[in-house]
Order: sequence, then C-alpha cells, then structure tokens
Amino acid sequence: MEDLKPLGLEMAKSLVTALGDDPTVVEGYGKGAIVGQTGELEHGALWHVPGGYAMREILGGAKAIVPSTKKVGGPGTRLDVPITHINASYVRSHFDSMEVGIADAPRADEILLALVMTTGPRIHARVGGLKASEIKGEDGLR
Amino acid sequence: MKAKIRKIVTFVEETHTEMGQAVNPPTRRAAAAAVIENPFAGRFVQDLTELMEIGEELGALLTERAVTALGIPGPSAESYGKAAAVGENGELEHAAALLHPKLGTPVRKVLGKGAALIPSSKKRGGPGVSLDIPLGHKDAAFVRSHFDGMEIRLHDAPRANEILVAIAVTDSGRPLPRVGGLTKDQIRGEDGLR
Repeated sequence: MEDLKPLGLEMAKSLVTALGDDPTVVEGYGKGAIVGQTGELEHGALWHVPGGYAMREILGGAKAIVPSTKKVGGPGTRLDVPITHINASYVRSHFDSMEVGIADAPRADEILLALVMTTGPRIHARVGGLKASEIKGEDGLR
Repeated sequence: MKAKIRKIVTFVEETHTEMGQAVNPPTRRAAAAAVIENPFAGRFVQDLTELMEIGEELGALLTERAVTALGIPGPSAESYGKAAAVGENGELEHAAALLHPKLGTPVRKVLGKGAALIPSSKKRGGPGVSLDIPLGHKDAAFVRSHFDGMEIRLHDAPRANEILVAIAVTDSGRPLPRVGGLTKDQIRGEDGLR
C-alpha cells in the first residue's frame, strides 16, 4: 500500500492536468482496479488507501469516501468506475460512473489501477435529492 | 406493476478457493437484474416520475430475488449495490431516475437495515454491455473487507429502448480479506460510515 502512494499522487496530478490544471474545478471522483488472472481480488484492495489518499491530497481535503469497484480479468476487461461528489456522498446529481479499460491490460501478472475525476453533474440532471449547493460538508455524506 | 419487464435474470457467485487457499465458508453474492422497457426512449421528457416509481417497484422485487437466491433472510445480507445500463435511445439520467430517488427504501425494507449509502454505477450501452455493480457494507460504508464489485452481462440486453437494472446482495465480503481497515465486528452502525 505504501509503495502505491507516489503512483497514486502522480495519477491524481495527471487527472487534474487533463481537466485543465485547476483542482478547484473537480467535483466528482472514483477509483477501481482490475487484477490480472494470476492475482487475487484482494490484491486490488491494496488500492483503497493510496488511491483515495492521493486524490484527497491533490484536491485539498475532499471529505467524501471515494467510491470504488474491482474485479479479476484479462486484457481488454472493462471496468465501470463509480463516481460520487468529492465532499458529500449523497449529492444526487453527481452519482455517475465511467467505463475504463485498456486493450492489452491487465496481463496475467499485472494490475490495472484507475482513478476518475469529473468536473460536474450528469448532463441534464433532474431527479431531485441533495444539491451540490446544499452541502454542509461536515461528515462527507451531506 | 408499472414496469414493463421483458426478463429477469438472477446470478449467484460462490468462491470456494482463492489462490489455492480454501475459502470456508465460501463467499457468496447474488445479483438480480430486470430488463425493462424505457418509457422515455427516444424523446426528452423533463419529469421522470414514472421511472422513479418503477425504481421503487424494482427495489423490492430484485432485492427479494437476490436474497432468495442466496437462501438467506434479508437481515443476514452484509453488503449491497445497484446499477443500471440504459439502451442507446435513452439518457443516462433515466438510470439515475430508476436508481436514486425511490429504489433504496424497499431494498432496506427487505434487508432489515442499511444505514450506509447504496453504492451505484450507471452507463449507456448496447446488448451484452458489461455492468459493474459496486458493493459496500450495508451498515457501514468504511468496512474495508466488503469493498467489492460484481460484473454482470446479458447478451441480449439492453436493447435500444430498454434499461437493464440490477441489485447485488452478498452474505460475505471478499475472499481472504487482509488489507486492514474497519472490520465488520467494529461497526457502530450509527452514521452509515463506521
């Protein structure tokens, strides 16, 4: 888990760069892992601490739990990375996900690690619930 | 029932051995999925109430199917998750209408409790698209042994005017969990987090 912290930070920085180099525009996040076929699902669980820590660090102390998913699979396996608001898990407009995958990964002895960030709600969000403008920001939930 | 259901499929997955080590008792998870007609396919409709009500119906139906498949009483369930894949003539927001406003309450009714957020994912795709249902402990989102996901796939769904909706329930966490963090015997169960 410690070994993955620098990688997590580098990936989180790259994401912010890809989104325009301003961490304040980031509103949603998520993480995931695909373990190659000679590994265990449990090896994917090693990503929880470094992946979450890295994004919180880069985003300046986001409060909500980072939603996640994981699986074992071969090259080309797809993964739906769940996404929620960075400061309040219950913000309904930001419940989302992003499918990721790489044609030649993970090979049998590899792990594909993913972080995802978004800059806003779903397009045409209109199913009510807690709004981003209503976040109290105390417990990471509301 | 408001939902026009084409089919219901239930998946049960048991892991007996992991990296040569016996998993005893086996970890088990079930997902129940319904393929429904999307009442708003192909047109923009502002008010999605109908899909919210369908979500409420499916919350009860699919959770009951999943716990029945595991052969456990609802309160014995340990983790849960939900997801939807919208056929190509629908909006991502249609998945949100099914999953978020009303689906959770009947899920929690079947399972007895459920203080934690129900983790979710959504996407748009064609028949055979893979759908990963994220999983988290039902009473405390930070229980690390139960962070997981279950992939499902139906070769013939969702068709363009359909939505695939799924609920996953487990009676256990990952096989051989050993990355620390909050354990299920430490759950306080007050805030849904710890």
